[in-house]
Order: sequence, then structure tokens, then C-alpha cells
Amino acid sequence: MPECSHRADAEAMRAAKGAIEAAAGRVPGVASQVAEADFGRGHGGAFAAYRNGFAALSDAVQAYAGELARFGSSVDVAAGRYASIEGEHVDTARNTANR
Amino acid sequence: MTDALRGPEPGGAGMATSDEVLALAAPALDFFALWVAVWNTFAATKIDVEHDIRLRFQDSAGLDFRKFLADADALAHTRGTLQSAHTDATTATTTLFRDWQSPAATVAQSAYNRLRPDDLLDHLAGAAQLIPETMTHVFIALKTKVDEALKLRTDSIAGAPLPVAQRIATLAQGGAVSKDELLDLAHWLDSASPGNDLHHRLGDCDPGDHDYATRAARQWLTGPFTTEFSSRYAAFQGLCATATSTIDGHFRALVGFLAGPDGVSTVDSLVGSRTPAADLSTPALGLPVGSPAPGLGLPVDSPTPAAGLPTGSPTPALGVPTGSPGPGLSADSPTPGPGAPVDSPTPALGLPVVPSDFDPSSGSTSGDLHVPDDSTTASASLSDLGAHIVDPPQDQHPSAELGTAPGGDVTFDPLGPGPDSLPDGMNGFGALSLPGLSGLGAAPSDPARPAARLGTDVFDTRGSAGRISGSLDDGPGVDRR
Repeated sequence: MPECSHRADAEAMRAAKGAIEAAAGRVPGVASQVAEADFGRGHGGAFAAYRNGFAALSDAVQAYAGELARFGSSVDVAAGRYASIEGEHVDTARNTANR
Repeated sequence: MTDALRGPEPGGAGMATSDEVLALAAPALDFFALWVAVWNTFAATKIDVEHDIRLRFQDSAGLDFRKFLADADALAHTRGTLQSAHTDATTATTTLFRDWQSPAATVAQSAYNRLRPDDLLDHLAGAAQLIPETMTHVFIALKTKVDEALKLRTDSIAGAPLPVAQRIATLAQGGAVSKDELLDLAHWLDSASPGNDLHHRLGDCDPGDHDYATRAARQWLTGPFTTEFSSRYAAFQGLCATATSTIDGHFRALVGFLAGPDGVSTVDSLVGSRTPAADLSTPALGLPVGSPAPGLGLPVDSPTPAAGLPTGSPTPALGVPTGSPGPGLSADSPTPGPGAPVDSPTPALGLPVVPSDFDPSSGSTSGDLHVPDDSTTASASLSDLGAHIVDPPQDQHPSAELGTAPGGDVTFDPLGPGPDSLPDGMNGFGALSLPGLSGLGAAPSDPARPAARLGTDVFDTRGSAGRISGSLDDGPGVDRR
């Protein structure tokens, strides 16, 4: 494709958005089943760090899924704008032709 | 011995909790409980069986392997799903960016490419692998603890079986004993210390006068018995401490890995800075509000060319020269045509003015996508997990603290020098044979036995009738591979 050329297909973009958001939606949350007592009587001191580390992993997974979903949403917005602009141009062209 | 038990395994096989492992040491705890009763009859420092033996040994009780393994399974499952989602999203975007090509698309593609969960996937895989490994190491530490505790059992201490030791303890306390029993004990004490002849001398004493025997019993308790029993007790305390320390070390390694690069796990460290779109001021591909991106340059290859003009037409969209106010367009808002610069303001298209920081060469602005760079990595990779986790420090291994086994190599002279010694001239009467000694057990005439050999002996004699020695492998309901 020549440099600075443009191509956009709102329908394809929306299809991509759907696939991306579906992928993001499949990412599950993950929660630890381990409680402080499960570390054993003398090792409960490690629990807080374990819980925090596990939660951070879970947060990161959710953050990635969220970013993926937002990316899909952005693609959708762009597709909408492309479609809208295209419509405006059609109207403008029609008005110009009718003038 | 370590193969006799199955450690915690995914799916519920093997040991489920630390309690199951620790329970196998019950014979060792009972052993100490019985002998502590003898110890406490004379020692200044009493041993609390419940606190110093049973609770001490239960330091790691309550640890549930299954829940940790469930966490590992959950992380592995999450990783698989995340990987799949990323693959599917990448497939979708590959198609997307084949159909959508423009400076904005380039920016969007760049943004997507930075949304790589590689570090997160690595970290999830590492955690999913490390948690079961940690449980295996914890299990091994517990099993070693149980094994070593069982090895500390013995049939006799300083040559005395428990009933003899108990009777000697009674004698040492000045308790009433019959003449025959006294002579029995005297004979045993003589045999425990060759060269002495307490039995013969006691035979010449008046009934009830057994001060010599009492002193001899005390000497045996504070001498050979104390030496061996305290050694075994110290070894017990040492292996408990070692197991606790080893398990703590494995947990520290685990939570250290989970904590991530800087010791503090953050989302940023795993998926980059607070992810692109989160900070975006505009939803559309993260381009700032007013970004010309989506509406920029009517697509040359668009299936619906602007106003039906031919693709590649040199005529700007709507036939209005670039920079010229077109019909219906404000004079200061030129409508971009095909190939128009990305930063072309297109207010006529309903898009606000381009932000001042928009980079026309790249089609991006400093405010766009905020995608993290690719340099973020999880701190500890799998390759880092090895040494410090797999093997506890040498000096933490129980065997390192067990030292030399007690017993056997102690010489005992109940008539030797000291405040409790018998007066001069009261020994050397020669040995007497005494019937009915079988109930007192063997005299402590065995040669010295170093620790390792003692352990082996104990292990080798497991299952022999009448002996309490054994190892973890003899535990009830133990599966043998």
C-alpha cells in the first residue's frame, strides 16, 4: 500500500471489536482459596504477602482483560466515526450536487 | 524412606494436610512423653510434655496442601485462558489491521502490540509451578522432621529400659522399695558400671538402709541418663526448629516470587503502566478528544469513497481543494482529502481541533494510548527459582543439627568421686550372680553407637517384636511405592 494511503472498513472494525471483546470477556477472575490458617500454626506470617502477591496477579489479569476490552471499544468508536464521517460526506456531496 | 509417602499432588493424591504427616510421629512423641516422666523426677528444669514436646512438634500443623494446590490450578487455568484470549485477540487484530490502514490504524496497531501479556503469562506460569514445588518442599521438610523424630526413639536410655529407669527414678527419690527389688536394681546398676559392686554391699546392709543405692541411682540419672536423654531431647528440639525454619524459607521464596520485581507486586509491573486505555482521554483508540484520527483522510481504499469520488482522485474530498473552504465548511477548517496529513484539522467532519501535541509524522499525540513500553518484566523468572527453593541451606537440614547420637559411649561410676560417692573401701566385693534379672533388661554394655548407626539400627529393626523403634515408613496406612 502506498505510504499515507488509507483504508477503513467499519464493518470489519466492528467485527474485530466483537472478537476482541469476546476474548477479553473469557478471561476469568482468580481468587486464592488459602486462608491464614492454611499456612500452618507457625507460618501464618507469610499469609499477608502471599495474599497480596496473589491479588496482584489477579489484578494484573483483570487489568489486561480490561485493556483488551477497552481497545475493542476504541476500535468500535473509531468504526462509528468512520461510518458517521462517511455519511456526512455522502450528505455533503449530495447537497453539493443538488445545488 | 522418603519414597514411602506420597507428597501433595494435584488432583488430591498424596497427603492432604500437614497434620496427616505429623500424626505419623505420634510414637516418637509418646516416647518422649514416657521418658520425660523419668527426667522430671530429678531434673531442675522440667519438661512440659504438652508444650515442649507435642505443641513444639506441631509448629506446622494445620497446613493445607490442597488449598495451595487449588490456587496453583487456578493460576494455571487463568494463564491458559489469558493466553487463549491474547491469541484470539491478536488474530482479530491481524485481520483488523489488514482492513484498516491509516496513520490512526498504525497508532492503534502499535498500541495493541504493546498490550502484550508476556510478563504476566510468565509470572502466572511461574507461580503455578512454584506453589506445588513449595508444597513438595514443605512436605519433605515435614517428613524429614517426622523421620528424624522417629529415629530418636530407643528401647533403652543409658542401657536402662523404661521400667528399669522408672524404678531407678523411684529409688533415687528415696521411695520405698523391697529388698529384692533393691538388690535387683543394685545388680543392674553394677552391670551398668562394670567394676562396681553395689549389689554385694547392699546385701550386707540392714533392711531399709539403702542410702548407697539411692545415691547410686541419682548418679546414674544425673550422669549417663541425663547425657543421653538430654542429647535426644536437644536433637528433637533442633529438628523441630530446623523444620520450621526450612518451611519458613520456602514460604518466603514463594511470596517473594509472587511479590514481583521490586518486592511489591503491581499490575504495572506485569502488564505495563496502568494500561493504555485507562488513562486515555478519548475512547477511540486512545486518541485525544478531537483527534483527527478516525475521520482523517478519507480512506483511499474505502469501499465508500468520499462523496463517491474515485479512489485516488487528485481532487480533495468533495472536490474542495485542501485548505480551501468548501461548501458548507468553515473557511478555517479545510477538509482533508485522500492522503491528507494525519493532523489535519477537520472540524467540518465534526472532529474538534487537533491537540497541539499531536505528532503529524507519527499520527500520534503525546496524550495517546499511553501504552507501556515492552521493557516491563516480572522480576523473578522461572530460571531464578532454582537453588534457593529446591534445597534448604545445608545448615538448615535436620541432620545438620542432630549431631552425634546419644547413648552408649558414656562411662558411669556410681561409686566414683563426688559428694554422692560411697565411702572408700565399700566397693570391690566382686560380682554376684543374681537370679531373676531378665526383667531388668540388658546391661548397658553395648559399644558406643554414633548417631548415624543408631538411626540405621532403629530403621533396620523396625517391625521386630517388642521394640518401639521404627521410622516414618512404618506409619499407619502408609502406602509403599
